[in-house]
Amino acid sequence: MPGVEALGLLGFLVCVHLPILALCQPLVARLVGSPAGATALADLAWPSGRQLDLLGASLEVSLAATGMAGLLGLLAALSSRPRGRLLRGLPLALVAVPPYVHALAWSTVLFRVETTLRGLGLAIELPRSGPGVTAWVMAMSRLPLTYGMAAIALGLLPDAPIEAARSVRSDRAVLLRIAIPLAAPIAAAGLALAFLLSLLDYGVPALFQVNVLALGVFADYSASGDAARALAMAMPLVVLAAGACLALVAGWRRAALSQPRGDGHPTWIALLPRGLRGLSGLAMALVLLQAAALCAGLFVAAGSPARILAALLPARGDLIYSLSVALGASLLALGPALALAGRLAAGEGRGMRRTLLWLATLLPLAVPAPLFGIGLIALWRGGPLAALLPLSAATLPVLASAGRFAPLAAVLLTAQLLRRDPSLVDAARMHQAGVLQGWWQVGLPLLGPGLLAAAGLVFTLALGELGATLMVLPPGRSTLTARTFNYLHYGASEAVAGACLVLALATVLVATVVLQAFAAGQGMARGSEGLS
Amino acid sequence: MNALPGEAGSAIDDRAPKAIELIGVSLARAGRPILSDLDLSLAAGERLAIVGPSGAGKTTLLRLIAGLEAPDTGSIRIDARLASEAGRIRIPPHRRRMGLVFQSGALWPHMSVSQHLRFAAGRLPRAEREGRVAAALAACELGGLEARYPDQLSGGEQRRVGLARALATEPRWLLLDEPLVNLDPPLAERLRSVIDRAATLAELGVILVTHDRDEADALCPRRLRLEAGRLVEDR
Repeated sequence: MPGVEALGLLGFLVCVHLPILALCQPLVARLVGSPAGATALADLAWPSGRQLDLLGASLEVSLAATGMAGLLGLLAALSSRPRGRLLRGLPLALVAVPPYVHALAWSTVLFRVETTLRGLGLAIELPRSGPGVTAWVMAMSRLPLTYGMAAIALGLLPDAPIEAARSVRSDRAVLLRIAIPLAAPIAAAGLALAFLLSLLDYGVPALFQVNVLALGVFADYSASGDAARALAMAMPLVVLAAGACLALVAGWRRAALSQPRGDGHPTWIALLPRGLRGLSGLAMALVLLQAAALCAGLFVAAGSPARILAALLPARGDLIYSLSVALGASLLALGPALALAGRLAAGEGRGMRRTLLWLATLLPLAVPAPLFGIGLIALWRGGPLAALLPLSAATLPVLASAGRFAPLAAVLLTAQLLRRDPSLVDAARMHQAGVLQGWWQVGLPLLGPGLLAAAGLVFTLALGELGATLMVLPPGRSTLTARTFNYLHYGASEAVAGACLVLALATVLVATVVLQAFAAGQGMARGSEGLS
Repeated sequence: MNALPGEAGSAIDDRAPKAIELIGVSLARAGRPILSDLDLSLAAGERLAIVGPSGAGKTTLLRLIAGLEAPDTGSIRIDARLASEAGRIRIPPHRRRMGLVFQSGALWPHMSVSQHLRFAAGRLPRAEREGRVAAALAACELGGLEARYPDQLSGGEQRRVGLARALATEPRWLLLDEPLVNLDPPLAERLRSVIDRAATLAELGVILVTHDRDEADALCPRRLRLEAGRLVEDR
């Protein structure tokens, strides 16, 4: 149905690319309009003085967090224990819990540990602010992502090439020359995404009193309201994040194209030296510990269930608005993401066009969230689209989340489409009574789990979206996330902890459904091939 | 043009109306030719086996005839109507009255056997549809398996469901892509006799893709050999 697909692609353009273009428009106008203005913006884009310090702090914190999360995630993924799918999957379900919720939990844990130590007569002061604790909390919040991508990379390692290599070379050589190079692109994509998210995040650094460039951009725009200036200031971040996106393209394409292996004992386990197995066990324990720290920290801070309920009741309006925004964003993102995923899947094996399409999908992720919000304001408040299609201010947070996360939904749906046995669709095309019947009875059920997973992914991420939402929230409205973030600046209270706990549990619940749906989709996509 | 229709020994009667006709058909993927300048014609009810080594273009030829792909150049006519031309499919696959049996089975994992057949039978009055389903089940010896899902069937049963699905459309042509590959000899023999009987009863034309000459000879009097996308033998 080319008409429907064209409509979906237009939707992606409007939701994802137009806000970014609207953001660029004042910058370009200023650059072209006056030489003095152009020089001033160029100076901002080329960081010096305080901006250079801020960029340095951004890099320091994000590289440290990515390094820690990457190493621990990879080591944990190498661990063969625990064997249960539930325990191994638990850290993955934490992937969409907002970083500031981790920050609150770790603050509570650090405070309790310090108090306990003091009670034992050990007056050790644990760091409560600064780059070290910021990097640690960021690492812990990205750990589910790096662990998940490393586990996927290892899970997709085919047995046959490793067994063939083991017959001619030592285990060490096979590990270094075959297994790691095969798994590297996907694991690197996890690292790149963790780096990108850490670099662009200003929530956790703000809470631990670390000034980073993303926070500087947000503060500058809040004071000046100058979009061109904000974009120019953010340019170093955009360039660095775009570089991370290039790594994402290669890794995610590889992940999307690879066929998952069965549930049997993977061959690569045998390649690991004994010492590494011990280390990987420790890393896995740490991954599970941080999941436990998150839950325990929030429970302790929140107090009893009655207190949580009492804290939540006044915020029920925010809760309902948050859920509406997340639901609206997930529904809005689905059509455009599916249309783009269809093009991405169809474009496989066609060189430059394929690469450009992947870049058009993933490069929007390089735009810091507040800037995306600024682009939305430029587009929908007084811009040409506002006149064409007047939207209520309350819908802008929906557009913000849909636009920011539709690229990720498109990637997930592409994976689903590429793994679908094409003969299942061909069989429907041959034997259907009409195109709609084939789509309804075969196409949609085959894609159903993928669509559910994509919708769930956008829903969970939208629940925790902060940067763009803060920019576009209408007066008198707030999401639970925005309210929680604002409260956090006044110190952790039971009310905040209760809200964070609810948010975290809701996120984990939806993430579990997403993971189950995606796993079910993998089985369905393969159809009857290889059965019996 | 490298086709050889009408030469001595060809099974085609040139005076018969040509039900399927390929004229100068070529197809390339990523710059590599898959089929080159192919001419072929089949009369209604004719049985043709396409043989050749792996990568010769056998399955691609079947997909072009089925309408699942369009040729880069040339045209395909069905009953004298233009069905496909360069870069364009004019008659979609489900309007060509062809049933295709896939090499992989291509059974939909969320549908039972009877749901597969009802889907293929299409929008018909209930009694007529159920009649078609019952006939296809009987022809393929699938009685008692109606409620089963693909993962509850053996390999041979899955192949027969694929065949029954193709028959439930009441096609005029049966397109078979390696239907007996990877089956034990007794199972393959049984399925071959099911195909033969079903095609004979319904007077279907058959186009069989196989790399097995014995299989080709057992089902089809006419054999066409492809090598590197070119027709090298038609007898």
